[in-house]
Formats: sequence, structure tokens, C-alpha cells
Amino acid sequence: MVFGVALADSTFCEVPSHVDRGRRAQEGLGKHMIEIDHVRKVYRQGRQEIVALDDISLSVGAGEIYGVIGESGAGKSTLIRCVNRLEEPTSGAIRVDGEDITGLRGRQLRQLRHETGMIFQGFNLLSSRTVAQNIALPLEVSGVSRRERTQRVAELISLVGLDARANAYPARLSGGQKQRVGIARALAASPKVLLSDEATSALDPQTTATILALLRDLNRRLNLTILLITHEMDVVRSICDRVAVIESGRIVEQGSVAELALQPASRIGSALFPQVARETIPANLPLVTIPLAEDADVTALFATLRETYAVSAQLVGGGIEPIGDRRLGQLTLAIDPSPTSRHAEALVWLERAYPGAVIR
Amino acid sequence: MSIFPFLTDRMESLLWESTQETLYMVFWATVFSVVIGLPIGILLATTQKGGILSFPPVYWVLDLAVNIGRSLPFIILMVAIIPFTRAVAGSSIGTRAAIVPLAVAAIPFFARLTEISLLEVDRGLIEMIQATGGTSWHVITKALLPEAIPGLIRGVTVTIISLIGYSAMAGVIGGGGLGDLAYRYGYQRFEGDVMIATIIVLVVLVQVVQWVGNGVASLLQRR
Repeated sequence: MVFGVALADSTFCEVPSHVDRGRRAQEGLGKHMIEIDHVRKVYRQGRQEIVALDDISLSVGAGEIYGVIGESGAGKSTLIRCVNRLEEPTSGAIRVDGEDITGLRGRQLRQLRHETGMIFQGFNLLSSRTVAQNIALPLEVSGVSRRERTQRVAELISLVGLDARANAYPARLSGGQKQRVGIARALAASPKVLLSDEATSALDPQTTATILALLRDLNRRLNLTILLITHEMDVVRSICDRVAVIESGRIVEQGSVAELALQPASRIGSALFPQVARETIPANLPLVTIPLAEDADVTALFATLRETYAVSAQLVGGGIEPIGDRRLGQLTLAIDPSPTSRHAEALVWLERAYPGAVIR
Repeated sequence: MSIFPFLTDRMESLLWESTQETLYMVFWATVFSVVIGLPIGILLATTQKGGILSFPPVYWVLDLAVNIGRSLPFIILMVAIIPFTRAVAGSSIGTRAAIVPLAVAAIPFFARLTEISLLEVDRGLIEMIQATGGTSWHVITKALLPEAIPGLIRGVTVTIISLIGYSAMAGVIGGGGLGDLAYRYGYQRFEGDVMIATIIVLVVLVQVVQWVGNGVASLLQRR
């Protein structure tokens, strides 16, 4: 637990949407909360057309944390802004909780945005307002009475663990505290969906970890669906259930983080673990990278190499990382190609016995 | 009790009378330029391309109007709009009438300062209000104006000081004031002591305005 304040079960019963929330939870798994369907976004710059998003399709399940990772300029910021229509997709459909939101106008559009929380890299707090007043903002916008606002804001402040700072101005807060205010504000209207735009990119590693733990905790307790964009693999590693890799406006890889972690050839699989540079190992030694699930028996691996194939191998790299609730790893071996060993057969066996193994 | 012992009693009471006239003209001109200049400034900041109410035709018209107002030297403007002054104030001469050209000169000035202050507000805050489902009205009233308040206060300060300067020319249309006193007695009658006393009062006025303005602005600055 990153903060000590327990959320009373009644907290979210105050809001009118609690019935929906309960029903959603019952309908439960497998339901798509956000569906992005063949979305394209083209900017016109003078005579030039710039394709920011090129046929993007992905879907985020209810209660899931979905990460979109990519370098700056890859289009991920544009993508997340299409979901609350801060950007207009050029073509394609986006559904939030089953409703196509691409055609919404005026009041309906504002209602969508109201029901979609968003947190930002730069926090975007009003410097002229206190913590409590910042959190109250979405409730003011939707016309909630002062009495209800006060009560709801107090709950939210406890929820993010900022009780002592309710009347502080943002200038007096640390980066982590600012983002907690941002999160509380984003949750003020009890949204179905939270959009996170590089929420931890301006924070130091330790603070990042506590903010990610808070997001994970809120995701579980409130069954909150989170779509986040980031350029940090650590974010994907520690809280994402599924991930999409975006490059120049296209999704080049997507899937469950744990599954990709067990595929050393995938982009995510190779980025999650320290990799051995091929040129640092003599060229005549084949390198094998083997994925390791929690139940992998490494003694059996080494025994088979030694006894069945008379192969000696050096351990040249690898690592074990906590991925979500799991503990997954990769191991890189340099196989000794001595003529007395059956190393070629050993490589064939390794590939078969450890699906996803990569030989270089 | 005399603050300037080197002035005759008559000159000193004339000096205070003129100070009151200056304060009267500057006060009302400031009120009008804020009340009218602020909305114009908001429109300038929001109707331009990329603004939240993006509507370039309105921006072009206001921008041109503000530029015209700002390009006329005050003395020319004051004389040029005499018919307008007469229509608004009922007379084209006197202290009350002088408020009209002063306001007309200061409105575009303050509108421009307002525009600059509002454009300096972080765009992320505008996006944040929109992301919570806010309207353009919410963006203006909950983000742009509150965040720009210290800048707007500084803008009012600069406007008041400019108006103190402009008001020195109000004597041309019989507006009186400190500038008029300094010109008629200090310059035309070679009464150097009146000139010096007037300058001292003006310097003190400007200092006090700047000091109060800075104080209020930094009090409201939560950064």
C-alpha cells in the first residue's frame, strides 16, 4: 500500500453512476471498455499531409490497464487525445463503453469528457487554486452543489493520501503530490475510464513507483479502466496488463505484457530484460535466449545440455523481472561449439523445448 | 500646514486642486478602460487562429481597431474625437470631458495587455478544462482569467501610469490636472518652483501606483 487511508465502501455509492459501475463489474471480464477501430489521423501542414495515426486498432477491456508505448512523435499523444476527442480522428471509429463517440457534439461531447478522467505529464493544476479547489473543478463544471462538492473532495483527498495538504497551493507541492492531485481531480466525476498522458514522465524513479502503485491500486479497487501512454518500459513492466508498441503512427506489436515477456524475439520481450550485445561474444559461439516462466526448471535445462548433448554452455546474460503479479525471466547462454559435443542438436532441442527461444 | 514651503498658499492650493483633477480623470479613465478593454482583450486572445473561440474575422477587426487606437499620438486622438467626446460627455471641454479621450486611448492599450497576459497561460490548463467537460466559458472563467490575474494587475498598473502621462495633455481641452498646471505656470510663466512641485507630485503618484500594483500582483501570485 502506498498510502494508509482506506476507502470506505460507501465512497462511490454517493455518485449516481454507482449502479452502472456495479452492473459493469458483474458483466465483468471480456467486455470492451474502449475500442479503437481502424483510426487514422492526418494533419495538413500547408500542402503536406502528415499521417499521425495510421490504421490503429486496439481494444481495452473493462478494468484493464492498457499501455501504449512509443518514442516521442510516434503518435501516442494524438491517439489518447482521440479517445476524449481533444483531437478529431480523420477516419475510423472509437467506442467508449459501447457508444461510438466519434460523432458526439456539444453537450454530449462534454458529457463524454466529463465521464472520462485524464491525467497529464505536466499535471495541469491551476496555480491560483488550492489542492481541494483544484480537485473540485470537474464538479463545478458539471454543476454539483457546493455541499456535495465539499464532501466528495474530502473523500478524494483521502483516496490519494493528501489529507494534510488540502489547503496548500500547487507551488508548495512536490511533483508526486501534484500528480496525486491530478489523479484525484480526474476521478472526481467517477469516470468509467482514466486516460493517462505520460503521467509519470516528469517524476523521479521513486515517485514514479509510488504513483504507479496508486494507479494499480485504484484500478483494482474501483475496477477503473486505464489507458495510458508512456515512453518508459518500467511503466509497462510494473502496471500494464496489455501493451501496444506504436512507431510512426502504426501499431507494430500488441498483446499481453506477460506473454510478450516470454517471447525474447518480440520488441517488448527484448526491452523488458537486459540484452547481450552479439558483438561482445565471439562470433563462433551461438547465443540462445530462453524465456523462463515461474515454473521453469533450470537444473533440468543444464542437465539435459550436459548429459544428452554433451554441451557446455556459459551463462552470458539474462534477468528475472516482476511483470504484473508474475515473475518472468530470460536467460542467454553461449553454447560451446566443440566438435565433441552435439551442439547443433542441442540448439534444435532448445528451440522446441522453450517456445520463443531465440538463437543468434 | 504646507508640504511645499517654497510655494505661495495660492499656488499650493492650486497644486492640490490639480492633483485631484488628475486623480479624477485617471480613476474614471482606468475604470472604463478595464471594463471595456478586458472583454476586448479576452476576444483578442480567444478568437485568433488556434484560440478556443477561433474566429479570425473578429480577431482581424479588433486587432486592426486596437492598432489604430494605439498608433495615434494622444494629443491628436484627443482633438480628433472631439465630436465623439461631446456626444458621450455632453461637452467637449472640462475635466469630465477629458475622461473620454483618456479612456479611448487606454482601452486598446489595456486590451492588448490583457491579450498578452491571457496568451501566457499554459495551454495545458485550457486542455485540462476541456478534458473535464468544460465549455469555452469555463475555460475563460476558471482557467484563463484566474491564472492571468497577476499579469492583469500589472497591466492595470501600467495603464494607470500611462494615463497619468496622457492626462498631462488634458489641458488642451480644458481638462486641468497637474500637467496643465506645470505647463501654464511652470513653463509659460517661468515659475520654476511650481514646475518642481508638480514633478515631485507626479513622481510620487507613479511610485505609489507601481508599488501598490506590484504588491497586489505578488500577493495574488501563488507560484
